[in-house]
Amino acid sequence: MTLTATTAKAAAPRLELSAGTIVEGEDKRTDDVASLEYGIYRATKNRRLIDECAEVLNRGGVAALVPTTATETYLKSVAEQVEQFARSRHQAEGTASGGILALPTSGSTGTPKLVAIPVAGLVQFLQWGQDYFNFDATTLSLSLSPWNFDVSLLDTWAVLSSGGTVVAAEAARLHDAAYLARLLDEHRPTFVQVVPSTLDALINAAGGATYPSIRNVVLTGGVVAQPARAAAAKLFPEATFHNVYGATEVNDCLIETLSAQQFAGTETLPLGMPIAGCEIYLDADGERQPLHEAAEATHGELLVRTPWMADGYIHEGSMTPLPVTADALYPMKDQALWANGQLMYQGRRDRVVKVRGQRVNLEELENAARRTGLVGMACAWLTDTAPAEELHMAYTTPDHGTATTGLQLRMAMSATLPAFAMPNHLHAFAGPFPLNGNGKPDLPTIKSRVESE
Amino acid sequence: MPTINDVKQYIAETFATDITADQLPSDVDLLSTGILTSVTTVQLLGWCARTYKIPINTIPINPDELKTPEGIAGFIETNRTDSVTA
Repeated sequence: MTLTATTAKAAAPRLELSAGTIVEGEDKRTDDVASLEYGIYRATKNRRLIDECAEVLNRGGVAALVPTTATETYLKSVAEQVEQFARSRHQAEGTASGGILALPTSGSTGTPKLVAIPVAGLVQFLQWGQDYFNFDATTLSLSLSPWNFDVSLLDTWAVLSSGGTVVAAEAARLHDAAYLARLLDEHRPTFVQVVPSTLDALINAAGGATYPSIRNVVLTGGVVAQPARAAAAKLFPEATFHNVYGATEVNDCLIETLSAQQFAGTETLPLGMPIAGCEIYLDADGERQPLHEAAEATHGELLVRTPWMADGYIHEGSMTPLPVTADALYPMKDQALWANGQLMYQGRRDRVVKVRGQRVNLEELENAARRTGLVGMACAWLTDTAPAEELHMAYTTPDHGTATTGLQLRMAMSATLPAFAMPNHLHAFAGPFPLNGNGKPDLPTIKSRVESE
Repeated sequence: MPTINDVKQYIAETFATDITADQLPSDVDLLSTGILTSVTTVQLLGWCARTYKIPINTIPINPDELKTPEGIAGFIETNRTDSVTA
């Protein structure tokens, strides 16, 4: 099966399904809701899903993908919103404005929202992916993330659009080492996109084996500690590595491309430079500076505009615009520092909490834990029960390392964090973190497990 | 049981449940490792006062002394007014 972007008789670009292939897909039919103007699908990884989505989108309709694990109530609520939105839009505009793909955000930084991505922008994004990674009929992508997650637009949709093959790994089996090892051994993929949890799963599954068939590894969705990156570089010795930054609302917008040696050895990965066509600004208290190679050193919040930006959110049956600035820049709520020709991530603005009068960025705390190399993943939160606020951090053991004690971790973290930013309570998880529908650590479930200990 | 063992036991059970009393070094900096905070140090002082009958409202307290288990044990030994058994 292939998704090819062409310009049809209508002004709106189309997604054509033809020559690409999906292997290892799940053959389940699910309780989808579909009509001429819309389709709401559980993101079961199979050919039927891609075919039906593309059909709806090419008709100018709205296709929404929800996690396979979504409850009936969630599916119904999304279906009601999408149906109402699609019908009113169809009556008002017909199909001339083109299809809309609706993807839920992960909810890891707030309440999940249904992001409306226009097909016109999607087509441009797929074209960028094909060009940058040289996707063609020989490309074999190992798709690890769920297909309701925006990362699948690159590792699945863009690969299919170039006539390549997608190995659709079942998202529910990402911690089944034997299953992942079989996929790597049997299919010998050439491309893989990982988030921190799936990279850990691959390193664990490989058990020291190497896979020189992989030519490109894309890391997105979070920070990976240097020891894990070193293990990844050994696992994929012939690969070029790419650190990609973005959000569902703007899709990918920054990329840093590194050799295996650079990827393994760099202490902290830069966010990279703007992808062609993307505009990035740093906003320091209202003073805005465009990001380019000759820019002066500065720091501030990242503001982004991309050619493949979403139109807004589908909410209560209508389109709520993105919360952009007057000049249509999307505030990422991420802080970054531009210095010495590199853009470095500094944490998320909305994860700053006040602890006993001091500001602490929970993400910096998690990153400090990961940088020690003593943990796999880390999730921090604040409790404000009496007598005072306290910082908690749950962590997993790294797949490539040995179990660590709470004291060792505290000592290592205290080398880089001030006392007020140190976690007061550590919670070790023997296995991997429970993940949400987008494959990211599910903080509410993690907290509830800790509370029930 | 020496006082320092009691101190470690209390700290491990109350403030750092991820660490056992045996793992806690006598000279570990409890503040920089996040085990104690300004608020829980007050809670610890309350425990010292109750357990060892230390008149914490009438004696000078140097917070630097309370940063480590051995410092806390020294503070207790210096200021306790309960009857000490060997």
